[in-house]
Amino acid sequence: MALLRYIGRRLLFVLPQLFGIVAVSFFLLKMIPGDPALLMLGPLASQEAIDEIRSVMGLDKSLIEQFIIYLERVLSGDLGTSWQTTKPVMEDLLKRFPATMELVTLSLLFALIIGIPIGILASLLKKSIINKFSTYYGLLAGSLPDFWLGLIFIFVFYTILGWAAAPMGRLDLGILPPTVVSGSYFIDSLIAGDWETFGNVVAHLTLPVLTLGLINAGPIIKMTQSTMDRLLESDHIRYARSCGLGEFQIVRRAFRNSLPSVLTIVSVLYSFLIGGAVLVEIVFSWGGAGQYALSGVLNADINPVMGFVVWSAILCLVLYLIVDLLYFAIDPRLRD
Amino acid sequence: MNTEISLSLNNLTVDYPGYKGSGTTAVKDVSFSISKGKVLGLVGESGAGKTSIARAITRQLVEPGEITGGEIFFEDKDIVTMSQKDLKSYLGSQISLIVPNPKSELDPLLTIGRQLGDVVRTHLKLSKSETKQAVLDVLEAVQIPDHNSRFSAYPHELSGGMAQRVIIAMSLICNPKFVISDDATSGLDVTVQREIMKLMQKIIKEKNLSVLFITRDIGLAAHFCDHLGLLFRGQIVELAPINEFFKNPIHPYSLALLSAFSHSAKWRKVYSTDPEKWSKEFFKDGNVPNSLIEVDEGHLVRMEK
Amino acid sequence: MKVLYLYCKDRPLIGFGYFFVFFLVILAIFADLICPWPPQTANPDDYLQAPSWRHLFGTDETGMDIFSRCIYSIRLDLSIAFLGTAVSAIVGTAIGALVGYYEARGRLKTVFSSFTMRALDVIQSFPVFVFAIALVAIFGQGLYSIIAAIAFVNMPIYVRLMRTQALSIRQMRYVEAAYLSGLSDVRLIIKHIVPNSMGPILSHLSVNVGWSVLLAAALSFAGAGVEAPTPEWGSMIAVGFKNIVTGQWWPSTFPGIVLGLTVFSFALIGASVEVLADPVRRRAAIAKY
Ligand SMILES: Nc1ncnc2c1ncn2[C@@H]1O[C@H](COP(=O)(O)OP(=O)(O)O)[C@@H](O)[C@H]1O
Ligand SMILES: [Mg+2]
Repeated sequence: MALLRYIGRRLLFVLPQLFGIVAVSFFLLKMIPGDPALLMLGPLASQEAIDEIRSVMGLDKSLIEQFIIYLERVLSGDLGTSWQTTKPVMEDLLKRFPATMELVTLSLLFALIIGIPIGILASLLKKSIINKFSTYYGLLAGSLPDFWLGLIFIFVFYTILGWAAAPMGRLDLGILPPTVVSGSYFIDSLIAGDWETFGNVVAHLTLPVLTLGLINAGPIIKMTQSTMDRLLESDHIRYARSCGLGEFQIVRRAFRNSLPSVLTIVSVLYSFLIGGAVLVEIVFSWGGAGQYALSGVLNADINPVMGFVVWSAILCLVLYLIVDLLYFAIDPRLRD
Repeated sequence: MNTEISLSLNNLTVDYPGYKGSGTTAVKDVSFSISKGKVLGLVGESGAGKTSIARAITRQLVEPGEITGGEIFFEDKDIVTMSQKDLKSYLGSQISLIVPNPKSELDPLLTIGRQLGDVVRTHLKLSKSETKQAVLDVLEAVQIPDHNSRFSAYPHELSGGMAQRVIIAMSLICNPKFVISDDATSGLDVTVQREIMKLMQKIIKEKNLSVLFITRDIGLAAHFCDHLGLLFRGQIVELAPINEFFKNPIHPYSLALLSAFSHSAKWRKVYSTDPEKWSKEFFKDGNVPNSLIEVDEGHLVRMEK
Repeated sequence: MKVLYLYCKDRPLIGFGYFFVFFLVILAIFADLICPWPPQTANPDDYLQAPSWRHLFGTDETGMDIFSRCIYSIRLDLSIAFLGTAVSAIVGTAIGALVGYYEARGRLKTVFSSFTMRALDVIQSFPVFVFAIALVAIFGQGLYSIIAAIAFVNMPIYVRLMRTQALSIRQMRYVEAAYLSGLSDVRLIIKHIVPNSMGPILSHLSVNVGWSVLLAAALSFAGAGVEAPTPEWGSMIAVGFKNIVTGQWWPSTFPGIVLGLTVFSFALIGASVEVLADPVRRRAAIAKY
């Protein structure tokens, strides 16, 4: 019951925000100089097609009416067509977002797996090397361009050592993608139980996940360390110590209490990476949604860009909603 | 050593080093001992160093505090030099601590049943159901109404008085021999305060506990301590059996405190002293005479030889 | 200055940060004297040369000297980052001060505040990088678009920082007094609120400059920023991208290292400013002296 009320309250904030997102993307669209019909249909469009899109979009009507038309279209899932792929943007995005989400999710999981233990150790062992290491790692990881690190990894592990798969997409050319269930090759090949494909998927994921994971472990280490520092000095942890609880128990309690902060930083990184992974996508020819949007930007193909912007904003909102539910699960104080 | 003694401090000193050597010595050369089954009241104003003593005994001083001298004997073992492992096996099971502000001392994310259970399971090897039974028993012992449902309550769902009872439960659950109570009632309403004190008194008597009872309220200490020590600026200024202390206080600070707490004019007069005389000598920094002198059996006063 | 010196004495890496930024500025100013080759002149005879004494960092596929290009890039990248950060800090601080000061101060003002904050929520729910690219696409490629995009995506942080400050400062006695004495809002903000809340803003600035360098380079790498052959680290990395798979590592590696070191130095400076701007932590940090 409390859960429902909590979700309800969240939705109350989310819905206006969704509306705001659509509004902002509409006005961005309007700000583009030049004939929007031409932008949407590409340089080779025929006059009839241009006239048709004009009337569909209501370009001769007032701004408000145009916005309402735009809103209706977005709500019905119509994001226009890309003149580059000649397919509906919705269809293209549904194919490409899973690639991006798979990359981002696995990278962040990797970042968490290395970041949390290092952060905890750095906080527990104040005078150790690991403490110094983590301080500077955080600064350094935030400073390296991920696209450059990806290139260096390709050079070392592919060009020189020959260990990694070719940085040309998600699968070797000869291998067919698994039957689509989730769109993530990683999950789908597992579902299909196709180990050869799965192995190949993992091989292709390794370098990009390593790149993004190592970079994004920085902020996770920093956040884990600073919250653990604060908590290990907190009243209730000191009290638990004076009750003679073992060190493992103490660390577990402190960590549980620092989970909300870690979760916050993960959600921030996640929402940044949905768009921010695009450069790493380019480096590894990943074919994700970011790359699709970018090629739209560079080729004056506006519908994919707007579609991507709207979609990723919505994904971010969903993400924040999930994070809120996790807060709710962790912290009993939110439950009433 | 005397086997009757439960805990004794010998010249305990606690420092909080500061920047540029500008540290505070919060506890200076404090010595006292508490016999088995007895209650020593330690009274002092805020900032006197009471909490530092309590935390020193459990070796849980707040940064940057450290014990810079002295010994703390608990049943012939020196806590100060003990290994972390030995210390952990004592804390919570043999020596336990009751703290003020109970709501910030409990983990906000775990049920109180779980927190109590964790302490039990750390020290006593009990099964799951035995643990739960032990927790329910102790919740009942500290008179928490409806203790079956409180078992799965979270700290934020408790009132201040209830939370204090949980902390008391926590300190009793492993049947310790020695309990430190640091200002246990300071954050509570007067009526709740009285209930908690009654409860503690009952439990101390029932279990024949040795207690270090720290408080700012000398009236409270009068009610159930066997001995009373008065702490001022990190030093004991007077230490005596309770009756002796009230009958024959000697140190000017004791007199001042007693007269301030006395309810009737008559007693105020008894305890009155010439403030002019001691305030000058006494409150001037660095002019606190450095030795405790035994004026009577068990009655120590800090004064000039 | 003395405090800074004492602080860096024990932390050579932080000292390095300050030194490196200083060094970069010197290099940028005297680029014409230092660089052995012109930064934008293709030399087909010398294409893809490995690093040597002739070409310290090697040459790229058109034969341009990478060392010289790396140094000339400092001018462009740092200017973009400084300008972008400055614009976002100034505009963001102004908006933030107004928002914080107006919050819960009468109908219209409150509406203004909450509307601005909601608008920020919306803007921040767009993915930063794609949003920046989209802005560049809308304004058209060019230097000013990049600066505008950087300024725009960084602004919300300053608004939020400043708002928090303004909210607490406006409750101070002397501000209340000034308010009651009839000082106009704008003057009150300029005279009292802004000067008293510079601490957190300052410590964010330095980190932000580094971050803006990174964003500028990223935009160029994606092809939505500075275009080759203008010397710029990001686009240099992009140009060298093709060569790395075939083993010519230097066209991408060197600009990346310089870029990374630059951002790292700003991050180090930011970390030290964060400590030094806080009186308590400053005292703790140089306690020994
Ligand atoms: N964390 C700390 N850092 C520095 N000094 C402290 C700290 N905690 C306590 N002190 C100093 O120790 C003295 C005694 O404090 P405390 O033991 O808490 O007194 P009490 O419990 O009697 O009020 C205080 O005067 C204070 O200056
Ligand atoms: Mg205290």
